[in-house]
Amino acid sequence: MAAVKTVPVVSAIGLTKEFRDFWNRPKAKAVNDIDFEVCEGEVIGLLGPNGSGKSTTVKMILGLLYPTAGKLSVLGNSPRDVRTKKEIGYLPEESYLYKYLSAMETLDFFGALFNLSAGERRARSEQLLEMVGLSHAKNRPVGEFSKGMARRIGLAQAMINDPSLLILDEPTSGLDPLGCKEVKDLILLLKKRGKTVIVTSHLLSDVEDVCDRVIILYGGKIRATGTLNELLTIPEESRITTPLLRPEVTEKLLMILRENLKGEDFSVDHPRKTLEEFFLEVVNKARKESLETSGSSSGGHIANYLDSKGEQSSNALLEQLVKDTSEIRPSSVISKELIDDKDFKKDELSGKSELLASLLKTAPEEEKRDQAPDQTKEEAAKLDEVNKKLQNLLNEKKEQ
Amino acid sequence: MTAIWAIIKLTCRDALRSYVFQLLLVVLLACIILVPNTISGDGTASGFIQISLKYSLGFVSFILSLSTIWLGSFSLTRDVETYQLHMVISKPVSRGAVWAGKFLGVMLLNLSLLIISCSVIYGFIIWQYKHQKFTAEEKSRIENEVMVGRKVFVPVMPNIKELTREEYKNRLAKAKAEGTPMPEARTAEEQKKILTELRKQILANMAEVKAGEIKMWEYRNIPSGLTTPLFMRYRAYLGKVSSQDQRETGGIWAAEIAVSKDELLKNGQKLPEDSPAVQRIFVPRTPYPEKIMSGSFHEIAMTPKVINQDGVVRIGFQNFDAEGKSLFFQAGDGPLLLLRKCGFFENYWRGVLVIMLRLFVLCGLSCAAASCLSMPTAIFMVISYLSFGSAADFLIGLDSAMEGMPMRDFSEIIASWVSRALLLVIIPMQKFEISGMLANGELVEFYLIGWLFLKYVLLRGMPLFLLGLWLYKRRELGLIVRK
Repeated sequence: MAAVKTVPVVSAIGLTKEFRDFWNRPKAKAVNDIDFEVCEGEVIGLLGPNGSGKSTTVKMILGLLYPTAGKLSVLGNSPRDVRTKKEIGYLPEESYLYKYLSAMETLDFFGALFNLSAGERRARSEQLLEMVGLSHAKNRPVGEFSKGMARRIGLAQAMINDPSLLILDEPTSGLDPLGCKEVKDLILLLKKRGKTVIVTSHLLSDVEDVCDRVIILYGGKIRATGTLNELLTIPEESRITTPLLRPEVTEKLLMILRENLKGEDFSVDHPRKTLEEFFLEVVNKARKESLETSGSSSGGHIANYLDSKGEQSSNALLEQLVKDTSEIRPSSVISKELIDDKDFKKDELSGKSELLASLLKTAPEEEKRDQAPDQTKEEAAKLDEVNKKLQNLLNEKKEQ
Repeated sequence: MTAIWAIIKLTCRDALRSYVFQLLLVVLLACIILVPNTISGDGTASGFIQISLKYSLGFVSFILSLSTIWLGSFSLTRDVETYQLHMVISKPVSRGAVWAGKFLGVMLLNLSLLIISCSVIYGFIIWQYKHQKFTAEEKSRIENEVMVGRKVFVPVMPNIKELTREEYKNRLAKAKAEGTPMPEARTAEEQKKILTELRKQILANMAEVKAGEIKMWEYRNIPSGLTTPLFMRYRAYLGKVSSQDQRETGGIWAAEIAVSKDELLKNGQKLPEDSPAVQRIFVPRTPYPEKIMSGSFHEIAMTPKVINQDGVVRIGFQNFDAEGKSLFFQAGDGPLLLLRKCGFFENYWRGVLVIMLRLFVLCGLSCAAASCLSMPTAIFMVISYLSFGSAADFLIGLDSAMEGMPMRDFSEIIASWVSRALLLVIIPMQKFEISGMLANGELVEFYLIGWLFLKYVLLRGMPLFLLGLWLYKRRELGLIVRK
């Protein structure tokens, strides 16, 4: 069967943007001969320090700036083509909104620019406001909004047309961690629905959480590009994450490591939650206790029109999410699998290690379960076996 | 269409929030309410109505012109400078649609205000006419001279250029015959002065009617077969063209009327046998000199019989000033012949249509300027353009007055050519001024409206509007530095 060649959503070949002064003398080359492609369904991060050319690239994608040289196509057309923009949603770095319009009027206005009918605009606006947690402020002028609320309404307007390409410039800027989490969840949801998202952000952790691939720009040139695994995995080092080890087991492990690493540095410590994860735990707990906050509060419900095309209602989606989570096996089970796996091969090491690493977030609860009194001895024996097996694998690796 | 309509609505809302616009709105309201209630006029009923009409409409037209220029520039530049346009342009709306939406929004707002203001003024004028304690005669005069639409016929003018040259030749011949120094032997500057002076003298002579003298005026292309009266409007200055030292004087007006030969014979006239059956004779309006207040406008109703078969009317005036002073009839003051064509309502709204055209041009110009410039540069650009328009029109007026005069200064020639070049692209807005016409009961002809639309809106305005739109479409909005 012949492979189907798909048109990239964004394609740049030799893309260059040179700024010139009044006398047409070159002033600065903001983007210098870059090539990249963004494929359908991809979440891509554009990273770089100030002045690296991120915003210029985004503005060229949106047709606000014209390339000095090179070729740029968006959804197969010129970025200046009006038809192209039907499929684009754009959230600028700051929400340049009409301050005297209320949240509802703002969404209605931007919906009208897509020639949506009045009924459709009203329905979508209601759903989007609910989704971004601004239903209670729908009649307030957006000029009175806090920065976080303005970002939320900006995000809502970017999605009024259910875009297939979403360009988010610093989407989490000005948002509290809860808002950041919601935005990131939304990006992941959009990705699930096959949408393409381009994110520019200075908050690298945000990019790391949601992006499949990143492009790092500096001085107008692409300095690095690839998937996060390609870029972030350190192949020369190993990391093993296990349930809490008893001191004697730790000691044994250290002894094995010392023997095998022969003077090379290594460290053993407790995995840490990120501050964001901890914050979210606290807030979620407070929310369960019905504590109220001022400003915007999480809506949490995905707008129906955004969701329905994914062939599942918001409830079904939540069910799916719950189901997905339930399918994540506890670390003890994986450990047992490792022990029972007679044909354990070294090339599976990285995969299993990643699997263990992915359980990081569930580790604290796992810990409690593992410490049940009637299981302690049995578990300890199993852990010993795991440690032995790992020792063997490390030896093999060293020999290679 | 939904998108354009959304932009139109947003432009109107945006405009209403502009402090400058709010200020202009207050001034507009003040003009509508205060002007008609504070002016006293010239003491006559028709003068009061005339001045109310002229000043109210003039102020409304001026304020809405300012408002249009401001809003046209403001609505386009503000969105660009605050980056709000980035949000709009990233949606599937063409820049042409954004430009059109802004233009139509500004026009919609200003036209609404114009219609409201003009309706209030119209209502006020009618109310004054009906409720003021005017006599029946005063009301009749207002109906015939102010609240009416009358077509204006100006007297046939001789060729001034030819007359000047002829006079110059005559003087040269006379000087040669008398053996005095020839003007040709003098400097070019002196020759120029002589010609200019001659021209002035000829024009002054044309305007002057010395005591005891008779002056004739001829009007052509007057429709024949009329049943309604013709009106003649004139103003004569006594002694000098100045509003000072004017007083009552005397004179006799006469008009040429067709009278049958039989009738003349019955009245004892002696005519040759081969004379035509219909004779045209000058019939005085009064058998004795009538009193005339110099320096003021007067109107005389005339029978349509004064129009001959060829559509020609001839009238004459004899000066009977008691002190033997001359009377001066300036070219602009007539005597003009006025022929009723429509009522006040129709004529008034024709005038409003001209103001609408004026606002359309100003809106297009300001939007075009704001397409590629920022604030306040765009406003200055439009005001400079309009100032050049007035200056160029003035210079062209001077130039045509001096047409045919040899030995003009180099600077005058340059100014003349620059003015002509400017007027190819510049629209002189004074051509759209109609409040004076309405106050004088002059007909705002469809021909005039069509001519203004074709010449100034389509041929001069539209290319500028399209240039602005083209620049707007090509503009790299991402290059603008945010304010």
